[in-house]
This record gives sequence, structure tokens and C-alpha cells, in this order.
Amino acid sequence: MLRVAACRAAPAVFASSSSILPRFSISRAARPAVNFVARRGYAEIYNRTKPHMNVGTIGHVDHGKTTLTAAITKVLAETGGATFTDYAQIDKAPEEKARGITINSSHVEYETDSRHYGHIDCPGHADYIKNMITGAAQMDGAIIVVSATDGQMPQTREHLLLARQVGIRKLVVFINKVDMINDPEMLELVDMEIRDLLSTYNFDGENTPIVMGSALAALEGRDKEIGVDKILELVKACDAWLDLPARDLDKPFLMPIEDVFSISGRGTVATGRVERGTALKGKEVEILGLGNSFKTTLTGIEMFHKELERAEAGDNMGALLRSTRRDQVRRGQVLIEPGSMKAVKRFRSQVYILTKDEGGRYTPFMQGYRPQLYLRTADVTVTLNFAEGTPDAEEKMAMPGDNVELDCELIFDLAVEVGSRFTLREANKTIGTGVVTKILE
Amino acid sequence: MLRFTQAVRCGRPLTRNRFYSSIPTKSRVQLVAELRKLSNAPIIKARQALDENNGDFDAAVQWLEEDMRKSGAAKAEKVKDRATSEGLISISVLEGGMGSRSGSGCVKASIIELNCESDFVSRTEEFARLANDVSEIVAHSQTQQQDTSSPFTTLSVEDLLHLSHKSGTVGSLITDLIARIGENISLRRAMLLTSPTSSNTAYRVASYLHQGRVGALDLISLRPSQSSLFNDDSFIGDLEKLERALAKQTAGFMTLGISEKRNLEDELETVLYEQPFMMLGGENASIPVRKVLDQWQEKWGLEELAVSSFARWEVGRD
Repeated sequence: MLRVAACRAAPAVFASSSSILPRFSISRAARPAVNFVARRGYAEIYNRTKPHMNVGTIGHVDHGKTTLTAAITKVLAETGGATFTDYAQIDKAPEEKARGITINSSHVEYETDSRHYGHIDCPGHADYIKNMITGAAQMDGAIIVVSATDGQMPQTREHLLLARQVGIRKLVVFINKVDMINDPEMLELVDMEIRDLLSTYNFDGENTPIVMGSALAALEGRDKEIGVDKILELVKACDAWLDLPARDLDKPFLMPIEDVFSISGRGTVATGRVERGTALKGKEVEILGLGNSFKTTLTGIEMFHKELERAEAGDNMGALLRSTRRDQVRRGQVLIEPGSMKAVKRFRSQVYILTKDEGGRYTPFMQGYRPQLYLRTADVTVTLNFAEGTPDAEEKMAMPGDNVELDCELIFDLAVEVGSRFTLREANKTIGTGVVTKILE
Repeated sequence: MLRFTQAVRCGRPLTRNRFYSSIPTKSRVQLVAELRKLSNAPIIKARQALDENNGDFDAAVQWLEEDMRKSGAAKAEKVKDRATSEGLISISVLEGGMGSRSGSGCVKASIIELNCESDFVSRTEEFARLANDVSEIVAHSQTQQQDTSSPFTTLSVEDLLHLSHKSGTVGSLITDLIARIGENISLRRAMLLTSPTSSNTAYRVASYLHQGRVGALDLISLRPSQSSLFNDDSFIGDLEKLERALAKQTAGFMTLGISEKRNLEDELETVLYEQPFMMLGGENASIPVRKVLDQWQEKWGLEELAVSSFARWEVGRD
């Protein structure tokens, strides 16, 4: 898990001057997190690692997910893009903790010519959802694995629904075990059926790449044309079809405010860690949230007692704000590029309720429950209701261990957007953790 | 068990499709597609069914039905050792007890746990239907009550698998789904709830299922001062609301005992009567369950109102 998290953060740090300097690809196999030598801003040397994204394999237990994952690492290991991870190592799906939540998932990583991939494999629906909610290993794309001998099965629908639910827009399909069917017409049928199903679930059924091969052949190094070649084709399809997630550095500036000081002779300084984007001295910024949003100018940036011209994602900075009184700014607000976000009170979310073993509640809660919501540096009371349209919402309860869709209503507005993550706490206990899926106002 | 006699009729004309030329091998693909739509059979099986029957669709349907039974059994045998920790709890109430709209005044209900390997499968309609079917069959079963000390009878899973149902048995229903879904599926446990015979106590049943993950079945006992109370609609309405809240309470909390702790080291919240009656809501939400029952008992002039027995099952737990 940690490795994946590190990889995820790394491109953001490295990507700094991508627009200024030409691309320079470092030799393969270098892991971005290890290769931490870039110096921002005034850098002479610039190492640009490959863009990173997370993919997951989803499929029926017997359709060869794990074999495929092992085959990918084996084939890419030959070009130095991966370390071969065998079936047994992947299949273990170790239990891990993310934000206190137990998740079963296994991770491998590999590189193609143009990208670095984190590859996730979970045994069940609930584990993928937990990954999404905690952000431990958010999938940006998926490989759906279907065996040619069976074709799609009733649960394939559930696999696609899951992909939708975790926010995946594009996926790649691998039809496995083609050597066992050996009948082009039947393969055509599998292809046709899966394209139909993809369209039913709002994926691009027409253009989604479908690769037919045998992961086992690739793993055993036989039948190159359905083995290794097809794995390479699959990986290429991922490179070409799956969209890279936006990198933190390319996003508009955002700094959650941690603390506020009044420095005599200078004015009000808000401090915090830049979550994304770049702040430039002299630019206009907006302070958002907690019922008091306004614009001002960033008259100075300070880091480690030095004045700087700019600060970017990952930096801890002090922001000197023009003609702002100390009582106008509070912890929990954010400093952003004007207009890039809105402060809202109501939003829909996907929430996991921690079990007692995970340190959560041991009792259920009902509609109208009011815990504290923690988002970035903010801490606001929230009213929880089952998502609008839930049948018998009055009657329903949420129990520890549940994944539920909830509508949240804050008593103060906060800078919230789709994908924002938060935790719910009550009496010093984390009772739930969630991710925003829709803004309701 | 494959129910597709109806659909065969409408599937037939499609075989003369207009998109392909009259080459028979082309329409074979269409036939396989049709077969799969009807039966969910694996591609390889659907093809074999057609080939074995020289492309005769109806015969292929027959063949497939036969084969699913045989290959289902083989498949079930192959996967039988794989761990099943996901699944669903299903409850079926056949007779709700005194004053209920269904039945004769007795209580008859079942609770079962059906397991599978992944939660992808437990979320499918097919699996939910099977769980529901099994609980219904179990509720209808004529099992003799062996243990008179408890209204709950634990049934032998082995015996249940041989319980016949329409065209097959519970076991064959399960193997059929294994053949189509390819995961190990097992009936883990089943219990039957029947009311004790008593001259002066009335019994009713309350149940609650939480996402198929947690299920509670409560046997409620009442001693009314006059039996005409069960003809009073406002009483029944009020009682049903209370019963539902009780079952929900049993399921929602980690309920282990009714009026006292099951084990000495258990927390007080595991005792149903001591829990704040959250599920009834309103002003009662913070009052202990027993106290609310006492008040309720008084309101309707009952001599007794109690939860006399309950079952609370969670998927994958004991």
C-alpha cells in the first residue's frame, strides 16, 4: 500500500516544470519514489518520471485475474519494466489498514514505455469500494477479465457496476483462455456479448479495446502469438485507451488553512500545506468556507523563513494576505485560485461505517444522525440522511461494516468537490470515512 | 433447473436471421447466443449442445438442461473445498402467528444462510433468488420438532439438500447455480421457528433483514386479558410497528441475550432489554427496550409481552 501511495504522490512532485522543460525520460526500472533528486524552481537537472496511474483487475475467480497479473509482470520484466511476481505472491491479497479500515488487496507495479502502473487486485466488491473511499488505491482504470470458455456470467454485470461505482469511465477487456475454445466464431460471440454489456452499463462498448489471449501461455512462455504478444497488446491498449488522472500539480491552487497569525507590520498570515497547484506571489486568491468567503491578494509567500515567489503542491507555506484582518480567516477554510471551487453545504457521498474492531461504533445509526465531519483541516457538524430516493429511508439503518450512500448537510459551508474525502467522528471515535460523489447545491 | 420452455418459442424465429448469409455455421453463432440468453450456460457448453444435436435448437435446450445437471454436479464437486465466506441470510415467514394476516394463528418461519465465494456473486439477482427459494422450501418443510425446550429447530443441512422441490431438490437447485455461476455455493445453516403450543399465550413472529448480511427472527409472546384484542385493527397496527422495531433492534445491535448477558464478560448492550430502544425512534429512542415494553403492555392491558426467543445471524459469523 505504502509503495503505491508513494508512487501516486511522486509524479506530482516531479512534474513541476513539465511545461517549461523538454521531456526527459529516465532509464527504466527506476522507481519514482526512490529517484527523488529533482529540485524545484531553479532546477538545472530535471528528471521526469513517467506519469502514474492505478489499474485494477476485475473478474470471476476462475477467469484468470491473478494469472494475468503474473503474466503482465513476467512479460514486462523482460524489458525491465517490472519485477516478476508469481501467482502465489499475488494471490495472497494481504489484509492491510488504510485510515483504520481493513482492506484485502494485493498490489504490483510495472512500467510500459510511456507509463508507470500500480496494479490492484481485490477479492471482492467491498474491498474495491473501501479502496475508493479511503483513497488507498483509487483505481483510475480497470481490466475486466472474462474467460472465453464461459463468456460473460451473471456476476460480470456486478463487475461493471462496481467499475461504474468507483468512478471508472474507461476500461479494457481481456478475453482469457482462448486456446481452450479455438473457434473464431465463438470468440466473436464473446466479443459481441461483452460489447453489448459494456454499452448497457454506459461504457463505450464500441471502442473499448478487447484483447483475446491466454495469460497462462504467456506465463509459461509458450504459444507466443496468443501469449506474450497478447499481453503486450493488452498493455498497449491500456496505454492508449485509459486516461491518465489529472496530476495534483496541474490542478488549480488549493491550500487548506491550518493556522492564522497576525504579524505586526506585515499583516495576516495563513499557514498550511499546499494540496495542489501552484501559488504565485502577487496573484489574487480566494478564501472559501465557514460562511465567510472573499477574495484578496497573495502579497507574500514564506517558507522556512524565506520569502519565495511561488509555492506548489506538497510545500508548507505561509500566505501573507492583503488587507485582511485576522478574524476574517479561520482554520478549516481554504485558500484557492479564485473561482476554482465552491463552498457548499449539501453533497452526496459514499461512506464506509467502521466496525467495532476497526475502532468504530458498535451500534447502528438512523436517518438524521449528527456526527462531526472532518475534511482537510475543517471540522463541522453534519446531518446524515440516506441518499434521496432511497426506499424506506425513515425505516433504514446504517450498521458498522456497511457501505452506504448518504446525503450530508453541513451546518457551515465548506470547499467541497466530487472526490473530496472526509471522516466522520463522534466522541473521539472515527465512525466512518467517505468520499464525495455529487454536489447537491 | 432451467426454466426456459416459454422462451424457446420466441427464440426460435431469430435463428433465421437476416444479417448473415445462409451459411449454416453463421447462424450457429446466433443460436449459441440465444441459448446463452436463455440459460446462462457457458459458451463452451452452449456450443456443444448445438453440435451434439446437429443444430436443432429445441433439442439443444433439452440437452443443455440435462447436461447442466450432470456437469453442475461435476463442477460442484470440483469447487466444493473452496472457502465460502460471503453470501446472504434469508428469512421466510410462512405463518405470522396470532392475529396475523397469514396463517392459522401459529408461527412458522425459517432462517437460512447461503454462502458463496465472492460478494460479486452474492449481489447477483440469481443468488438472491436462490437464497429466497431455499428459505421458502425450508419454511414449508415438515420437519418434526425434536427439541421441545426451544422453539427454534436447527435443521441438518445434509437432510435439507435432499428435500425435494418441484423438479429437483434443494441440492440440485444449488448445483444448478454453481454450474452457471462457477463459484462454490453452500447452504451453511438453517433453522425453523415454530411456536410452542400453549393455551393462554399467543405467539407472533417478527423479522428483519439488513442488506442480506444480518438477519433477525424474533418470537414474540403475548398474554392478552381478552382474546378479542387480536381483532382490533388499531392494536394489531401498533403491535406490528413495535414488532418490526424489535426485530430491527435485535439485528442492528450486537444482540446476544434477551434479559441477561449470554456470557459474563459480554457488554450490557448485547442484552436486548437493556438496549436503548433506538429503532422505535421518537421519545423512546433512549429508553431501555424492556421499559418501553412494560409501558406498551400497560397501554393495551396485556398481562405479558415479551421476546421469548430470537435468532440473530450474520453472514460468515457464528
